[in-house]
Amino acid sequence: VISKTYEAWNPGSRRARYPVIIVGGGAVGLTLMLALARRGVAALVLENDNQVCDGSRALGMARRTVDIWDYLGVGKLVAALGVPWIGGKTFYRDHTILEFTLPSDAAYSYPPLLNIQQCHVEQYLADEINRLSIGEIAWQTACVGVDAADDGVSVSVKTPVGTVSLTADYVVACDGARSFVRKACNLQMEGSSYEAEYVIVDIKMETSSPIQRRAWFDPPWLPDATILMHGQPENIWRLDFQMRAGEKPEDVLQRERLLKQVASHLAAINEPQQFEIVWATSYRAHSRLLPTFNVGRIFFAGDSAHLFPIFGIRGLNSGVEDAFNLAWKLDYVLRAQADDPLLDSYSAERRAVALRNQALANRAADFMTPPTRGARMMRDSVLSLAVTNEAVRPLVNPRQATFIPLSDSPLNFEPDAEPIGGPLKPGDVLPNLRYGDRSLYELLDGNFSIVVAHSEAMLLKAQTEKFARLPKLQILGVGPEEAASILDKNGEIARLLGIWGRRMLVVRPDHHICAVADSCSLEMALDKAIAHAACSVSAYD
Amino acid sequence: MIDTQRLESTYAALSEALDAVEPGKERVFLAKLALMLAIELHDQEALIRCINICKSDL
Repeated sequence: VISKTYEAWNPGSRRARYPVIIVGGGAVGLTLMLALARRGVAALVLENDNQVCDGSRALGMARRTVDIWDYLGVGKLVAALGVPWIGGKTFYRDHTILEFTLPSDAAYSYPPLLNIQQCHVEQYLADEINRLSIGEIAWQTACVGVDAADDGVSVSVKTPVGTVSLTADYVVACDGARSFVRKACNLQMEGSSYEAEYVIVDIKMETSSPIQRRAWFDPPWLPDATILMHGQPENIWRLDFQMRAGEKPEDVLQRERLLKQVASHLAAINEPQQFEIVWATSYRAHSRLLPTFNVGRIFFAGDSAHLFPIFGIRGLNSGVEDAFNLAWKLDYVLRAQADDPLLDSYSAERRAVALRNQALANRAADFMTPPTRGARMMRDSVLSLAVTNEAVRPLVNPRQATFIPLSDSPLNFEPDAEPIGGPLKPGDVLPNLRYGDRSLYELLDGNFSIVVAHSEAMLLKAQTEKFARLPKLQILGVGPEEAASILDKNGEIARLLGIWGRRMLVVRPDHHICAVADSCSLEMALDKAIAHAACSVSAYD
Repeated sequence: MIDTQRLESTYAALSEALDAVEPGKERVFLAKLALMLAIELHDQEALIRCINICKSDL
C-alpha cells in the first residue's frame, strides 16, 4: 500500500479546451497520459481517488509492457523493484504434475515476465508525469457526463467543490470494468462470465522460496478447489483461493477466516507461519469485449474495452498496449500530420488482439474453473493422467501473456511482390534489445523509423530530404561502423533484427513493424512509409 | 507423441461431446468410446496398458 496522497484538483485552473481527456487514472490511463506527454500532448486525467490503487491487483507484467514503460522512462524503475519469473510448478493433490522454466535471453532488455504490485507501477507513472509537467492528473474528480459532437466532446466533471463542464478534442475511457463512459455511450460488452469466484489475499512473509508461479488443483487441504501463489517484491506473496460452491465473498473475506485459510495453506506447503495479511479482495472471471473500441471521438482502452479472465495476465498488459497504440495516433491527428482513418485503425488493431487474448484467456480459465460438466470431466482427467503421463502435461501449462502481433493491421504493407522472410514480420514488434548499458528503444525518437544496414542508411537519408514537408522519419543504420546509429560490432543486432543486404524494417512510432522491404523496393518502401506517416490510409495498396 | 495443438482439439471435442450427453450417461459414453477406440486401433497391448494407466490417481 502506498501512502502518498494528492490534493483535490482545482477546477479554477481548468483550460478552455483539452486535446485529450482521459477518464481513469489507473495503469492504463496513466500510461496513455505519459505516452501523450512524451509527445508533447498535454492531456487531463480524471481520477476518483486521491492516490494510486492499493494492493497487488494486476501483478504480472509482460516483457512488452515493461518495454513500453522503458520507452516512457519508467521501465528501469519497474524492473529494479520487480521480481522476474523463473518458471512455475503445478500440483494435483500431492503430486507435482508440471514444472516449467521461462526462457531468459540476455539479448533482451527485460525478462519475459516480472511481478510487481500495480500500485508501485502507477506511482512511478504518476511521478514521471508530474516530473514532465505536461498535462495534469485531476485527483478526486469523477466523470459524470459525456456528450460527443462532430467537433469535440463535452465532459461533466464532479469535483469536491462542484461540477464543471470541460471540452476535449478526444476522450479516452480508461475507467475500468465498470466504465461510466461505456454506460454513458449506451455500449454493451459482449461475452460471458464464469461462475467460479476467487478470494485474493496479499500476505507479507519472509521465506526463501523461489519466485515462481505455483498452482494447486484439488489440494488435500482445500479439496475440490484451486490455489495460485505468486511472489512479489518486498516479501509480499499473492494467494488466489478458489471459493467453493455456496461460499459468499463477504464470508470468505472475514479476517479470522482468511487467517485460518492462509495458515492452513502455508502449513501444508512447509512455509513459515509468521505472516501478515496486507490486502484482500474477491474476484470473478469475465470474458467480455466491446463490439468496437471507439465511437467517434470517444475511445475505450483496457478493462473498459475488454475483460479477460485473470489467468494468463492479459488484462493490464493488453491495456498498456492499447494505450501505447492510441497515443501516437491521437498525436499525429491532433498535429494534422495524419487523417482520421489512422484513429479508426486503433479499434481494428486492438480489437483483433483482444479477440485472440480472449480465446487464450478463456482456455486458461476453462481449465482453472471448468464452466461445464464436460469441461470439468476433461480437466479432471488431464490432471489425473498428468501424474504419470507426460504427453498431457502441455495442457496444464498456463502459457501466460504471449505477445499477439498486429498481423492483419490495415497499416501493414508488403512493398515487395513476395513476402520477405526473416525473423520479423509486419505486425511484430521491434524487440527492445539490450544495447550496451542502454536499451534499443532509447534510440527511437517517437517518429516512424527505418532500420537498415548502415551503408543503406546513408543513401536513404539523402532521399528523405525530398519528403521534407511530411512528418519526420528516423533512419537508423545498423553496422560495425563507428558512425552507425546502432553500433553492432559483432553483427548480433543485425542477426536478431534480420537486417542484411538492403533489407529494411519500417517501424511505427509504437515500435510495431509495418513493413519489411528488400533490395528491389527501397524507394517504393520509403514512399509508402512516408505515406503511412501521413496516414493516407485510403491510398494504401 | 501427439502435438499439443491436436491434443487441445481432442480435449475440446471431448469436452463438447460430454456436455452434449444426457446428464448421468457420461460413463456409458466414455466406456463406449474406449471400446470403439480399441476396435479402431487394433492394438490389444496398448489398450491394456492404457487401462492400467487410467486406473491410477483417480
